Amino acid sequence: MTGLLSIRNVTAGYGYGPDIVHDFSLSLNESEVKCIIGPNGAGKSTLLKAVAGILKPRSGDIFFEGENISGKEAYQIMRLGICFLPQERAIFPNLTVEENLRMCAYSIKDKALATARIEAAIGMFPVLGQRLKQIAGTMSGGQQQQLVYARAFTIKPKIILIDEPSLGLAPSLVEQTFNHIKQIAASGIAVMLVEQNAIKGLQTSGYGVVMDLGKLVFEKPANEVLQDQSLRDLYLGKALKK
Amino acid sequence: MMEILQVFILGLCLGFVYALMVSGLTLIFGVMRIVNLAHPILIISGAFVSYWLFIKFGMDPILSVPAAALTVALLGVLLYKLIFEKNAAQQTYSEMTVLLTFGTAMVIDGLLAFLFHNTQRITSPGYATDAIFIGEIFIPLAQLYSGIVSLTIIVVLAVFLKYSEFGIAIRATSQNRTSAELVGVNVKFVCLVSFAIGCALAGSAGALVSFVFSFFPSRHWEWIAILMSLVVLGGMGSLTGAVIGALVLSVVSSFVGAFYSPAWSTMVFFLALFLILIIRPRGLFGIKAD
Repeated sequence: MTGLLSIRNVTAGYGYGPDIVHDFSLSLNESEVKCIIGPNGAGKSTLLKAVAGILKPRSGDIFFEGENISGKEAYQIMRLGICFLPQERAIFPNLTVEENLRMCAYSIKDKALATARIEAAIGMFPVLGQRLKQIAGTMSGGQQQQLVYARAFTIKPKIILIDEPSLGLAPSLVEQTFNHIKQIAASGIAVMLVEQNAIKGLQTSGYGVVMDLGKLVFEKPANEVLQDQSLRDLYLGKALKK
Repeated sequence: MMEILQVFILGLCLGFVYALMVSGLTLIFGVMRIVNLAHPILIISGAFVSYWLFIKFGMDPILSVPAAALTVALLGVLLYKLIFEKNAAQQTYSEMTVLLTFGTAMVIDGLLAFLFHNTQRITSPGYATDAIFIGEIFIPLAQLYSGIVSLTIIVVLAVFLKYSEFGIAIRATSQNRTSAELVGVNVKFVCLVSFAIGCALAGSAGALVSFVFSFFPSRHWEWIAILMSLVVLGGMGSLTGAVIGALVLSVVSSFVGAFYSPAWSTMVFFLALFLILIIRPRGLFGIKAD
């Protein structure tokens, strides 16, 4: 199993608690979009945290471009090219929009390049350009979402991990958010997505990965997962059946 | 009228010194959640550095500010590496630091008492007993100089935190460690540097109070309470809040001292502490806990 990112037999959990992710393996190729779905407590978010380095895997290895990153600090993994957008607080609410953008570009050592990237991100999200001096937390939900996804275009990582992008958002914002994710995927960045809104997530992705009780159940092209009636009942929720 | 202005100016000068004393404490709390009860003894350590340089080489305490800042910063780095860094991931870190820093304060207090004895000291450069008159207003040079230098250092700190890349990273880390780490900030390094900066501020404050107040090693117990009340008043971790708190309380306390009785002037800090805890527990500029 190779690829841009290769998760091999990873087991992870919190503190002295039980294993949340068991012996999990998955790979992600360049410009691929994979959506991990599964019931609450399946270990989806835990898996992303282990890849991002916020949580150290208890066993197993994670390879990124052939390099084992499983023991590295989160900031080192980020600097290698894996950007993680957590469920909440992906922005700094008490900093201004401009300071947030500068923090997004913090890891870019070439300052001229950093400035150019920030300007390019503002070009994609003009609203942010009009609000540079505003405290980020006082912007509307939609504007904050733009700031979150501006990070992807500032850093231009090789992989972006997104944890529950639609959680707690108003329906209109969910649409906007998935459009941002499509934009990111279209720019050639590989995406690994964890999403409760399985239908939306799968529609955005090339592959669907079903996870349950910390284990990989199977992996299939996303449209097959969407069409499989028994899967819809099991993992996408009966309420969604039309 | 003149008398009111006089008291106000004296209070303000001292206020800037208090603000410098508290700025390092609030920075360290904001970034690392360390309740540094050893901060006042670090200030006194800085004062001893200045005192020693003055006695040995006749060095002006204002000129020895960098030496005091550097010495205390190095001491801080040593302390941080020895007792704080390895515990930073603990759930009860903030609570632990109260005891750790209390113990540290006792150790340094004892060490200084052993080296310098617990007698009152004051650095006495020529201007320490001098004063200038503007009209009828009388300003002691010691207060004036230490106030001006304190203000300068605070402005430099504020500009650094507001505009420099590293300053923004420090503020980002104090808001959310994980988020900062996720944009590529080496949080451990930011913490170490912030702790060193906080200690350098303590050291420079020490040099500046060394010719304003008389000091001895165990005087820091008295300052802990005053400084903690300023941090709480401003909002834990808010630099703006702590500076404004220091200015306001210092002015009020000098009015109480002048028009009522100097014995009651320290009371102002504790009264303010009680009131703010009852009325607005998160402090003047504090952010709601999340």
